Amino acid sequence: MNDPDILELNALSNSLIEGTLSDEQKRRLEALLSESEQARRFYVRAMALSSSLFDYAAEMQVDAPSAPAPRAKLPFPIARAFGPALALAAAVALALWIPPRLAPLPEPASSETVGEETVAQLTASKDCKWIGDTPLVGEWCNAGKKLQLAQGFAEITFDCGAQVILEGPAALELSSPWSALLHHGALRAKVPPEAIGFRIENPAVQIVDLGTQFSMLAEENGAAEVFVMEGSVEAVGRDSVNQSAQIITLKEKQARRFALRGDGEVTNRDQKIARLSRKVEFQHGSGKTEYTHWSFDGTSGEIAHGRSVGFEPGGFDATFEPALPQTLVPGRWGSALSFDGPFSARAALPPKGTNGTRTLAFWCKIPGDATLSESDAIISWHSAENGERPFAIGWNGDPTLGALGALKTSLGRGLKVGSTPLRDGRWHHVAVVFVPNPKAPSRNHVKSYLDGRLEATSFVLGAMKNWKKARSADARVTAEGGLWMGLNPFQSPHTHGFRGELDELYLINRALSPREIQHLLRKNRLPSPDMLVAQ
Amino acid sequence: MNPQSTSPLQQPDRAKELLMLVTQNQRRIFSYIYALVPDRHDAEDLLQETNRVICEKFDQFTLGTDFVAWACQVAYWQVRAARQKFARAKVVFDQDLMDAVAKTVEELRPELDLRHEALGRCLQKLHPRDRELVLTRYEPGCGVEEAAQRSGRSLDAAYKALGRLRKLLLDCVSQQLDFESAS
Repeated sequence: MNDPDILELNALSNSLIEGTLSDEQKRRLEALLSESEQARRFYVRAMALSSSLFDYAAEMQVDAPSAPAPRAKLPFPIARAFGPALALAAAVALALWIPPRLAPLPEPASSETVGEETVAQLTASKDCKWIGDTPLVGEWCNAGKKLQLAQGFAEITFDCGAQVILEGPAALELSSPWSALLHHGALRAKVPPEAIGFRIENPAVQIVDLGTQFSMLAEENGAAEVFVMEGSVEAVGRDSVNQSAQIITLKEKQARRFALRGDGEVTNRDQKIARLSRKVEFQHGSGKTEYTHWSFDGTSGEIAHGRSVGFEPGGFDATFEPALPQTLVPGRWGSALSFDGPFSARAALPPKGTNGTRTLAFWCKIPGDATLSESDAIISWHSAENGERPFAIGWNGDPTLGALGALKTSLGRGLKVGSTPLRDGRWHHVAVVFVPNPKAPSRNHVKSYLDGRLEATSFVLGAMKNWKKARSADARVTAEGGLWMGLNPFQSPHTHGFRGELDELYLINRALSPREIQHLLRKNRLPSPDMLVAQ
Repeated sequence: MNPQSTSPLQQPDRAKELLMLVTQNQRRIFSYIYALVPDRHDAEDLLQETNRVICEKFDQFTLGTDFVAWACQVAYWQVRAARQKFARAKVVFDQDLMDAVAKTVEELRPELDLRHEALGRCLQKLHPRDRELVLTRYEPGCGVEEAAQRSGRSLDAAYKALGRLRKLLLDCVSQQLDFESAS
């Protein structure tokens, strides 16, 4: 193709992209493309450029336009392109989730499959020397991340709540919030009841935890030794010679060696158990915790008092709209707020209360006969500052988005639906952790916990830069930022409001760990760092 | 229990693989469809339909093989099946031309991935005002009119500027790839 041809093809492609192609131009374009492979290549590159621009533009709604991510890993706009099919598939898959028994060993994740989904956090370290990247304590790790420890001890807390201590030299690949691959080295796993089903595997064995503490020593030749300190585990040994899998339940104080050519007894068992039982003293970092707590116990008239710790005290009381004295009912702890649809409450937001990493936790009770039109947000919030996007947590009333009645978290246009229906007239504890991506702070990793158990794998939610433009003109939004209970005034059209009960609402300035969420659920107060270490 | 006897969605690892593969490759599948059906909304509808079929037929996909190639095959048949539906659209290639374009997309697939990455760098080089114009034009729910309005240009000026900027970006991407292959 010569230059005039290229210019003509470029003009035709532009007209095509903009939908202004005339019939004559269409015939000319078809003729050029039919005749020349070079023309087709130009056309395909031009169309791919536009396709990529759709992708970057959707990303730029999240990021500042001056910083396009050169390696865009955010999935292609899900809400636009995914449709209900896969959302339902995800819901079905999660609803049908059972601890795998003879599931084939997955291929180790390669760097190509590494997403932006964080699955675990490095929560403590001692005398660590790392190979390659040196992760910092407090750093969130993506799925596919391989932690390579030359020496020392590292504590990794998975989003499901399982805690692993890795002892160097060792290499551990984080597969998901529920699983990891031990390439070599020693680890100890402590798995609370809410994380039952957590898995550690290597080529010779897959350990499915049944609520316990266990250790594993993996050799580079693929063999592994498993020691159960407390409780029991299910070990699925893989025998490559017989192409078979063997399931063994190992109980407390039992140990087993697994190799690709069959399993056997562990040599020097007692010495190894003694070594793996040695206590490791970690220095846990304790970030300053600031929070506001609305208990609804000291509620009087039109006001529910918000108690702040760390945040500037006072000023965060919730005002009822309309003021109705009969909105207080017996709650999960003390009294709770009852919402009947039109009723809602609004509180001022603590400064920086909605920016950055944070956790929102509360108890809610949704009647079994709540209708889909009553699926408005339980909590929503928005700061009037520029660049902030509205968040909302509620239950899903749209079957095309995922499991009906399950927890729904939305941020701007992005949303995530859990799998467990909430409309059963019982109290449920909800905790949602928001962790901004350090490279693109307006993207959030969202982890939702229902009754202390990780409800859905964390997910990166997109948000809108120009959300105000996209929603209808609603004076309340522009005029009144704040935290709303029982209503999402930031969406249009409004539904009938939330019907159900709300109790013990916490807004916290950092990401609570799964153990802290458990503590909050059980005690209705945040634990001190000392209390967690002692547990 | 025979793992082969259950549907892929009943096997958690398999379902996760499906979700991961489909999610990570949406852009690539969309790009393939868009070259064959150069209308954003039609292409998005076809992408949804393709996603649905991928979910249904995922048990036919062999892990470790080329997922995008397989997904594009699924998309190809969706596009073929939908040609009647899109007959009113401005451009519906005849079957032979569509097959030829599909073949070219397939051949260029590795290069198109590199071009996508390079485009991110080229966007950074644009003047902020031009970048804003381009990205607004391509934002979900926006178009040339919106981009013109926001940038304070006339509609005609916006069309012209967008045409110029797309060519500029196309050339920039090609130069980036030449530079990278030479270095």
